Amino acid sequence: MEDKIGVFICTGYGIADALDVDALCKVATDEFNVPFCKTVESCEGPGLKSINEDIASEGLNKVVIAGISPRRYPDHAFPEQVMVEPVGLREQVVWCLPAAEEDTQMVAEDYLRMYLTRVKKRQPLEPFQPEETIDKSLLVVGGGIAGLTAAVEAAKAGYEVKLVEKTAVLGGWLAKQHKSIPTRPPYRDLEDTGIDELIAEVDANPKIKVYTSATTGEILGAPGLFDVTLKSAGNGKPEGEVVDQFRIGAIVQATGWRPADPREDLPYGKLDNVIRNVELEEMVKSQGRITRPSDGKEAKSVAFIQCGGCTNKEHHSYCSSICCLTSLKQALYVREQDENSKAYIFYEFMRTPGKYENFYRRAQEDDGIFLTRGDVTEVKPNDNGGLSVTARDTMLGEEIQVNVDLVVLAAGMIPNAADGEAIRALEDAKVTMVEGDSEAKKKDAAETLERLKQHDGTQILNLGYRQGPDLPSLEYGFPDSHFICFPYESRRTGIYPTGAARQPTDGMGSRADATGAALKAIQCVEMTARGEAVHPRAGDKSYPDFFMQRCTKCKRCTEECPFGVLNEDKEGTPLLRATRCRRCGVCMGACPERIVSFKDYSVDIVGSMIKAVNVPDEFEEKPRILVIACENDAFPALDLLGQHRLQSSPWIRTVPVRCLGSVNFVWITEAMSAGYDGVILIGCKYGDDYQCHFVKGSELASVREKNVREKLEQMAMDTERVELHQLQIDEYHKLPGIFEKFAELIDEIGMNPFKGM
Amino acid sequence: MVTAEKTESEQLQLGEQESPQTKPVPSTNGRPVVIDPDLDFIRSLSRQSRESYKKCFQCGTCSATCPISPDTNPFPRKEMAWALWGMRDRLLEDPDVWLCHHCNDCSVRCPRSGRPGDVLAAVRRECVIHYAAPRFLARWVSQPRFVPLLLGLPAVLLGLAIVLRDPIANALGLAAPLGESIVYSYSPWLPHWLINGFFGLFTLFALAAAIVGLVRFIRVIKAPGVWGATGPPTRSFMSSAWTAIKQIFTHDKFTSCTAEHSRPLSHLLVFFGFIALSVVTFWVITGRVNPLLRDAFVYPFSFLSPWKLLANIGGAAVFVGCVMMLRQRLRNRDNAGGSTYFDWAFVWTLFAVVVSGFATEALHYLRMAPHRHVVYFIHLVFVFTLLIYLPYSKFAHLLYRTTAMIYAQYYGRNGATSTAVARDGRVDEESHDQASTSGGALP
Amino acid sequence: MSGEAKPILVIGGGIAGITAAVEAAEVGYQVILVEKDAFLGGRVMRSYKYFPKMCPPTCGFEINTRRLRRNSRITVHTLATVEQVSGKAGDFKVKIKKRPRYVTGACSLDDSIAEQLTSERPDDLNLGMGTTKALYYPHDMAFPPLHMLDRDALSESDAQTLTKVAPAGAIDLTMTDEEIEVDVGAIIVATGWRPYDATKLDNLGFGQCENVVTNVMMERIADPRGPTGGKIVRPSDGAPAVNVAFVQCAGSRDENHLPYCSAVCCMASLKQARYLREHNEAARATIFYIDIRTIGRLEKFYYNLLADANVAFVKGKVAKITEDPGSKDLILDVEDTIAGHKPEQKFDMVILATGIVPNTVDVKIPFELEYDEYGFIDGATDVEGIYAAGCAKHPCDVSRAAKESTAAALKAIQCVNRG
Repeated sequence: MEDKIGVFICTGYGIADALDVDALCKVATDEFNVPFCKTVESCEGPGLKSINEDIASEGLNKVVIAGISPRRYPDHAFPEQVMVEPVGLREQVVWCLPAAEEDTQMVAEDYLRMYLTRVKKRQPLEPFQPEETIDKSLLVVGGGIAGLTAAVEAAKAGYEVKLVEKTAVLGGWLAKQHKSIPTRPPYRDLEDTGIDELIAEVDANPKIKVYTSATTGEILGAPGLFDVTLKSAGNGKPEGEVVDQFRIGAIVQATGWRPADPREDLPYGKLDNVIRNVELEEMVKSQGRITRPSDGKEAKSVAFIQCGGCTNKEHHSYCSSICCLTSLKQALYVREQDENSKAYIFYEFMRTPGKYENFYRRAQEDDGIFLTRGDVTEVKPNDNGGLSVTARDTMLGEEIQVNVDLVVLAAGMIPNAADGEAIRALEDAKVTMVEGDSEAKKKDAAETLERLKQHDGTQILNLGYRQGPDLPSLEYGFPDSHFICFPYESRRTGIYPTGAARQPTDGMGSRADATGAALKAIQCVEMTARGEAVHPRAGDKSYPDFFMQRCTKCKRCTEECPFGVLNEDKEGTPLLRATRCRRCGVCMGACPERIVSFKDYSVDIVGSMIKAVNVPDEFEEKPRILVIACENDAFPALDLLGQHRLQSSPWIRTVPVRCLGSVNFVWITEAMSAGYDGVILIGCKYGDDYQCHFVKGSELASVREKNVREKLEQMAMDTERVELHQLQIDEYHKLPGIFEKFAELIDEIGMNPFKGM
Repeated sequence: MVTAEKTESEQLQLGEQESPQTKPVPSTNGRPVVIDPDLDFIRSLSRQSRESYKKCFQCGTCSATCPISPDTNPFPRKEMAWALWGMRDRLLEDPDVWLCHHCNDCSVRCPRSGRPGDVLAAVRRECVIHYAAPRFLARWVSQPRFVPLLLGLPAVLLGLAIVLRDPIANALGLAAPLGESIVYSYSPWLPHWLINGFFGLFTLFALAAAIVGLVRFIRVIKAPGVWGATGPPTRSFMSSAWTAIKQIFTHDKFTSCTAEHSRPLSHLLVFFGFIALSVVTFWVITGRVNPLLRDAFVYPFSFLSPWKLLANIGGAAVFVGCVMMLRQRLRNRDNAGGSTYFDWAFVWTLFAVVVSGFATEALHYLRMAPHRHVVYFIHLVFVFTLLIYLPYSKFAHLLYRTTAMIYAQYYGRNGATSTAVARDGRVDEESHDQASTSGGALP
Repeated sequence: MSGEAKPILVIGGGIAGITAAVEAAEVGYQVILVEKDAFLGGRVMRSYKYFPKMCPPTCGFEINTRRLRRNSRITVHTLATVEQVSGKAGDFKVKIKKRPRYVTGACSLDDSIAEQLTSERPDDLNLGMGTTKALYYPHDMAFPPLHMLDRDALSESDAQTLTKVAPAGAIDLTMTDEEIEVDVGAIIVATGWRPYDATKLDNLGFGQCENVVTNVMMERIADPRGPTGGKIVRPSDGAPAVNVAFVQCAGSRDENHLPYCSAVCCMASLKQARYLREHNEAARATIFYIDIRTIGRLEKFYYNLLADANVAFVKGKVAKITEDPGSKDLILDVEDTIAGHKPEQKFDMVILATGIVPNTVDVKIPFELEYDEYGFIDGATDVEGIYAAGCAKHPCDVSRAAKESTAAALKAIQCVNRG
C-alpha cells in the first residue's frame, strides 16, 4: 500500500509560544515532502477527534502528531490500521528547554525529522500466525496441591489439561500429611487436608487427563506449539518407555519441593530419635501415633528445632515460610496424643504472618506446648533412651535443657526446579571434555563440571531449548524473574512455575498461586493465538524477522536472548521460535550482521532516525549528543523531567528503544560517523536487584558498551564519548546533571573530529 | 519513666551503691537449667486466668510498663517465662512476686491478654499455700468448696467456748465480774475474758503459723541465687525496715500505677481503716490492764469518745474502701485485676467483718437484744476468719509483702541500677552490640 | 467464548485491582475497573520504594499503565464508587456513582494554571503532610493523565480565575455526580487497606509527640516527591533525623488493637532503615521487634541489614514513648528481652510500624457478603461470583496481592463463562 503521510502540529500547550510552528511545518512539507501538514489547537478530546476525522477523510495511513507525549495516548485512540507516531514536543522540548530560542527550535525540528523518518520506514504489522493451529490446551507438571489446583481451575475455565505426575499417586506432600494448618477463619483449628476431594475432582473432570508414574521426557517447540513426549517413570512399566505424545499450548510447572538436609551440627542421621518434620508427618499419617524410632515407645515429649537450628546463619539463607506453622501443627499432634505430653519449640523468630497469628495463639494456649526463642547448641542421648536438648539465649535468660523422647528438625523446603542454564553449561563442558581442542579448554570444562556437579541429572522439564532443558533460575534456585510486580514471570515464555517450585509457600498460598499460574498459561495461549506478545510488551503484534542469507552463525542471538527464543541447528544457524518471543529486540542488538528486524523497529529504522538529525558543523559549537533511552524507564523519566519543568539540554537528541539490550552498536558508530559528539545510553538497573523488564537487557548493553569502546579506539576516538547510565524511572532529577556533565566532557575533549566528513 | 520518679530513699541508695544489684539467675554451676514443666502447676495458674496467660510471647511490654521493674531485671517478664514453662519451684521461691502491687498496668498493656499482673497474683496464692503451716489449711482457704467448713469451724469453736464458759471460768479460777466500769453488759454469754481468751489463743496459733511461713520465706530470700546471694546487705536491717514501712504507709509504689487510679485510694482507705480498728481493738482488749485507759474505761464507749470516733472512722474507711474495691472488680474487670476466688474471698471477708461490726454497733446502741448478740457472734466468726486465717488467705500479703519489701531494701534489690543507661540518650555500646547480634546473654 | 461473556467488575484500582483487570483483559475479557480516588495506583503510589529490590513502584506501574493503554477491553472509572449490587453470579447489576472531576480532559492542563490559584487543600497523596492547589495533578504517573479539581477547596475568586485562564472547555464547574449502571458477570473486590489509626495507640505518643510518625508517613518523607523533598528530617524542627527508632507491631499482633500480624511491617521498617542509611552515612537505626518476619527470599534483606554496624535489632516491644519537652527527643520504655535489661532509649525520631486495616471495615461492599472477625473478605468465605484479592482478603505485600488478583481473575473468568 502506498504511504499517505500526514503531520499534525499542536499549537496549544504553549508549543506555539515556544516554537516557530511554521518552520516546523516547513520541515515536514519541504524537507520530507509530506503532502498533508496541519496545525491543531489540541491533540486530545475534540482535537483528537478532528485529527481522526482528517485521517479518515484524507485517507492517511502514516501520521506524526507533534504535541503531547505518546504516553498520554491509549492505543485505541487511533484507527488500528494507521501507523501513528506521537512526538512529545510538550514534555521533551517545550517544558524542559528555554522558549523561543534557536537551539530549542532545532531540537523540535530534529524530533520531527526523526519521527517522520521512523514513520516512513515503518511497515504495517501482521500478527504472527504459524502455519499450524495454536493449541490451547495446557500441560501441568506435578500432581501435588499446586498442580491439581492449576488443572482443576484451568479445566473449569474450559481448557483441556494434561496432568503429569512422576509418582504413582496424586496428592504430593499434602497427601502425606495427617492434618493441614488452618485455611479459613478463624485460623485456629487443624483441618483435614482436603486432598482426597481435590484428587476426586481432578479424576472426575473430563477435561483433565492424568498421567501418573510419568515424566516429561521431552518438550519441543514453543508456546501454542509445544510437543510433549511423556516417558514412564518406572513404577511397573519399563523406565523411559514412551507413555504418550501430544501437543499443548502452555505449561504450568508445579513440581513442588523437597526437604532440605538439616544443619550438620545436629545429629540427624546419627541418632535414631532425631528426625525431620516430614518424617514426623509421615509417621503420624501412617501409624497414627508418635513413637521413638529407637524403641517404638510412645513419644511423650518432643522438641522441635526451627530453621534446622539457627546458630549457623548461612544454613538458612532464605526462610522456608511454613516451618513455624508446621511445627505448631505438629506440636498439637503431640498434645492430642496424651494429656500429659509435652512439646517444645525452639525458634529464632516465630513466623506466622497475617491471620496465621491466630494459629500461633491457639498453640500457645495449649498447656503442654512450650515455646522460646533460643539457639539449640546440643542434642545428645540421655539416660532414659531419650535425648537432652540444650539451648542458649532463650527468653528465660539462661541456658536451658529439656529431656525429650524425640527431636524434630524443621528442615526447609528446596524448590524442585532445575537450573536449565547450569545444566546446559554442564552438558557443554562434558562435550568439551571429549571434543575440546586445547588443554586449557578442557581444564576450564573440568572446573565447570566440578562447580556444577550438583546439577547433573537434575532435569525436570527436558525442554528442547538451546539455552538448557529447564527454566533458568535466580538466587536460591527459584525460577521466577520479577517476583515483586509480576510474580509469574519466568524466562521461558508460556512456562509458569508455581507453588513451592517457585518459592517456599504453604498449601493455601499454593492454591492461590496455582490458580494465578493457570490464568497466565491460559492468557499465554489466547494471546499467542491472536499473534500478540505476552508480558511485558503485552499485545505487541510485531515479531522479529531474520534475514537468514546473511547469517554468519555466530550464535550471539541464540546465546544472548533472555528468553531462550532461538534454537540452533547443528551448524549453529538460529531457528526462530516466534511464539516464545517477548519482542525486546535483544537479538537485534546482538546481531553483528544486522539481520534481525521488526516491521516497526529495526536497525535501519533507528539508525535512520539517528541520522535524520541535522548535525551542525564543529564551528557552530553546538554539540550533538545522542541519548538512547530504554522506553520502559528512561524514556518516561525524560517525560517526567519535562513534567517537573527541570532543564534538559538542547544538545541531546533522544531515541527510545524497547530495551537497552536491543541497541545495536552500529548505531553508535554510525552516530559518530554522522557527527554526533557523544552517546549516552540510559537503561534500567542491573545486577542482583535488576529492574530490567527483559531481565538482562541493560546488563548485555553494558557488556556491549565495552566492545563499542574498543571500536571507538579503532576509530581513534575518545572512548569517553560513550556512557552508560542505570536510571530508575523516578530518578529523572538526575538527568540534567548527567547531560550537563557530558556536555562539559565534550567541551573538554573537543568536538567529534569526524563531524562534517 | 521509673527513673524519673525515684523516691528519696532510692536516690540515696543509688549514690551509695557501687555495682548494680541484679537478680541473678540461680546458680547452676555453669550447667544449663534442666526444665521439666509442671503441667499441674500450669493448669492451676491457667484456671486462675480469664484468658490463657500462655499466649504470652515474651515481648517485654510488661517489664517496660511496670513502674517497679528495675532496669536490669526483666520483671515480670521473667516470671511470665517461668510460668509459661511451668517452673513451679522457681516461681514459689521468687520473692520478687511479692513486690508487685497488682496495679495491672502490665495486664492492660499486654498485647496477648496474658495479664501478667493476674499471673503474679495467682503465683502469690500458690506461694501462700507453699509457705503455710499447715499447708492443708491454706489449701482449704484457697478453695470455695471449703467455705462452710472454714466458717463453721470458728462458729462451732466459739459456740463451744460459750457453752463451756462456766466450766472454763471455774477451771481457770476466773469469776465473771462485769466490772464496775462496764455500765452496760455486753452479753452474759460472751464475757470479755472469754473473747480475749478465745482470740488470744488462736492468735497465738496464727502467729506461730505466720512465723513458720515467714521463716521459710526468709530462708528462700537469703538462699544462694536469690537476693541474698548477690552480696552483703547494702544497709542495716533497721533502716531497711524503716524505709519499707515508710513506703507502705505512703503507698508510694502503689500510686505509680496508671491503669486503675482509684486502686491506691481504696487500698489506702482499707489499710488505714484497718489500722485504726486494730488500734482500738488492742486498746479495748488491754483495757483492764492498760494504765492509760483504766480510769476512762467505760464500756461501751460513748459515741463521742475519741476511741469510738476512731473506730467508726476506721470502720467507715474500710467499708468505703471495700465498696470501692468490689466496684472496681465488678465494673472494670480488665484494669482491676483478675479477681480470683482468692481475692474475692478476702475482700468479702473484710467487708463482712466491717458490715457485721457496724450492724452490731447499731443494734447495740438500739439496745436490741438478743439480735445484737447474734450479730456480734457472726461478727466474731468473720473476725476469726479474717485474722486467724491470715497466714493462709490473701491477707498473708501483709506478711510476705512487708517482709519482701524490707529485704528488698536490705539487699538493695530495689536499687534499680542505672549504670547500664547511657545518659546521652543513646543505647550504650555494649548493649547495642549484644542486641545487634541478637545473641546477648545476661549482662 | 469471550465475545459474549459479560464484563468483569473490579472494585479498587490499587495494585491488586489493576493486576486483576489487566490479567483478565489480556486473556480477552471485558473489564470495568472502578476506583474511588482520582487516579489509579492506590497505596503503592504512596510508597517510595518496594522491598526487597529497593525499586520504585512507578517502574512496574509504568508497565501496567501501558498494558491499560494498550487494551481497549478495560474501561476505567475513577472517582467512582459502587453504590448498589444486585443479582447473582454470572448476572450482577451494579450501580456506580461517579463524582465529578471538573476537568473534562478535552485538553490537558498545565501546572502553570494551578499556580495562579490561591485555594489549597491538604495533600492526600502525602497523607495530609503539606498542601496542593485546589487544581492539582495527582502524581507523576497519574492515570488517567488528568488534573483533578477539588471543588470544595476552590474559592469563588479562584473559580473566576480558572474560567479566565484555563483553555476553553478544559474545566467545567457545573459537572455533577453521575450514575451509571452496568451488567457484569463477576466481581473482584480489591478495595485494599488503610493504616491503623495511630492515635489509638495512646502509649506510643503519636499525635502528642511531634517526632513520632508512622511508617506510611515515612514513605512520603523519604520520597523526593514527598513533603520534605526526600529529606529525612524531624517534623519538630526540620533537623536531620540521625538516631531513629523503628517500633514494630504498633497495633498489630496486639489484642487491644489488631490481633493479627500485618505481614508487611517488618520488611517495611527494614526497607525504611535502608532509606535512612542510604540518606545519611552517620544515621543509626534501631529496630524494636517481637519477631522479624522476613519470609522466603526476603530473609536476605534482613541479614544484609544485620551486617550494618549502624543498624541495631532489639527484641522487645516498646511499651511507652514520651517526649523530652525541651529537645523534643523521644524516650522509649522498652526491654531488650534477650539481654534482659531496659537501658534508657532516646531517639531523634520514631517510626511506628502501624498495621493494615481492610478498607471494608469502614465501607462495606453493598451486597450480602461474609467478613471475618477483622473485617476482611476472606477467600474461604467467598460468595459465588465475588472474589476478594489483595489486602481486602488478608494483609499481604505487593507480590502476594499480584498473585492473588491473578487468581481472582481466573475465578471471575470461570464465572462469566458459566453465566
